[in-house]
Amino acid sequence: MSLLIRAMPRTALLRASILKSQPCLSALAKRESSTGNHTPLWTAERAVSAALIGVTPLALAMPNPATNFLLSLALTAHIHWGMEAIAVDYVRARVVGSVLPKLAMGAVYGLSFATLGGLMYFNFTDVGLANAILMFWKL
Amino acid sequence: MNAILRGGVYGRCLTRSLLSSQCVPLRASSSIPSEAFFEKQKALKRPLSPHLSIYKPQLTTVLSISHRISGIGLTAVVYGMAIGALASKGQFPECIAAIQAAHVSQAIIIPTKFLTSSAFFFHFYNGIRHLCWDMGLGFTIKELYLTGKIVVVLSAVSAAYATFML
Ligand code: HEM
Ligand code: HEM
Repeated sequence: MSLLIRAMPRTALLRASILKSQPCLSALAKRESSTGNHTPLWTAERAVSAALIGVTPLALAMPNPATNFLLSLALTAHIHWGMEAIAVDYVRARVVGSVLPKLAMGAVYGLSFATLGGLMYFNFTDVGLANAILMFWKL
Repeated sequence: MNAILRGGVYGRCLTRSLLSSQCVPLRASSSIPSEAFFEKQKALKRPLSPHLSIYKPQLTTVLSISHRISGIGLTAVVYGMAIGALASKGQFPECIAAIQAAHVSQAIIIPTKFLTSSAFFFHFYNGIRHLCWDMGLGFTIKELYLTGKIVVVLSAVSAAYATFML
C-alpha cells in the first residue's frame, strides 16, 4: 500500500472523494506543496466548475454585461486551475529540471491575467464574450 | 464459490487496509519518496506506465484523456479571443464582416463548428460526470461505462444540432 502511494504522481489522486479524508494521503496532496490545508481550494475549483454548468448557457441565452462579466470571471478561474493542474502534471522538476516548471507556471499565470484582462476589456469596449460567440456561430 | 470467496476476501482486505492499520498517518517529510528512490527508478529506465502504445484503449481512459484534450483546445480558443481583443485595434463586428467578405467555404466552416461544439459539449457533459464522481457517485465499472456512453451520445447529438440547426 505504501509503495503504491509513493509511486503515484504527487499532484492528484487524492481528488477522489473516497480518499479525501485519509490523512496519510492528504499529506501528498495537491500541487507541489506538501503543507497546508488544500480542501478549500479543491472545493472552490469544483464550485466554479459547477457554476459554469449554469452560467455558460445563461450567458448565451441572455448576453448582457452582467452575464458576460460572470462568464468571463468563472471561465478564467476555471481555465487557470485547469491549465495549472496540467502544468503540474506534465512539467515536473523530476523529469525536466527545476527551471521549466517555473517557466510553465509563470506562463499559466501570465496567460490567465491576460485572459481576464482581455475578456473584461472585450466586454466593456466591444460586443462582449457571449455575443461574440453567437455572432461567430451565425457565419 | 471460489470467485465469491476471493472477491470477498480481497474486498475486505482492501477496505481494511485503506481504512485502518496499514494507513499510518504520515508526516509530509516521510511521505515524500526519497531522492534515492527516484535515482533507482531512473536507473531502471522503466517505460511509461501504462505503456501507451501497447495498453488497450478503453472507453474510460479514452474519455479521461479526451476531457483534458478538449479542455486544452477550448482554452486555446479563449486565450486567442482574449489576447486578440487586447492586440487588435478593430471591433469584433468588423472581424466578422471581414470573414464574411472572404467568402470562406462551408467546407471549412462546418467542420470548424462541429469540432469546437463537439469539444465544448463533450467537456460540458463529461465535466458534469466528473463532478458526480467528486460527490462520490458513479464509481462502479457498470456506471462508469454507462455514463461514459451517455456522455458520448449526448455530445454527438448536441454538436450535430449546434452545427446544422443553429
Ligand atoms: C491509457 C491509459 C490511461 C489514460 C489515457 C489516463 C489518463 C489520465 C488523465 C487524463 C488523468 C488526469 C486527471 C483527471 O482527469 O482528473 C489521469 C489521472 C490519473 N491516473 Fe490515469 N490514465 C490511464 C491509465 C491509468 C492507470 C492504469 C492508472 C493506475 C493504475 C492511472 C492512475 C491515475 C491516477 C492515480 C490519476 C490521478 C487522479 C486524479 O487526478 O484524480 N491511470 N489519468
Ligand atoms: C461549461 C461547463 C464546464 C464544466 C461543467 C467543466 C467542468 C470541468 C471539470 C469538473 C474539470 C476538472 C476535471 C478534473 O477533476 O480533473 C475541468 C477541467 C478543465 N476544464 Fe472544464 N468545464 C467546463 C467548461 C470549460 C471550458 C469552456 C473550458 C475552456 C475554455 C474548460 C477548460 C478546462 C481545462 C483546461 C481543464 C483541465 C483539464 C484537466 O485537468 O484534465 N472547461 N472542467
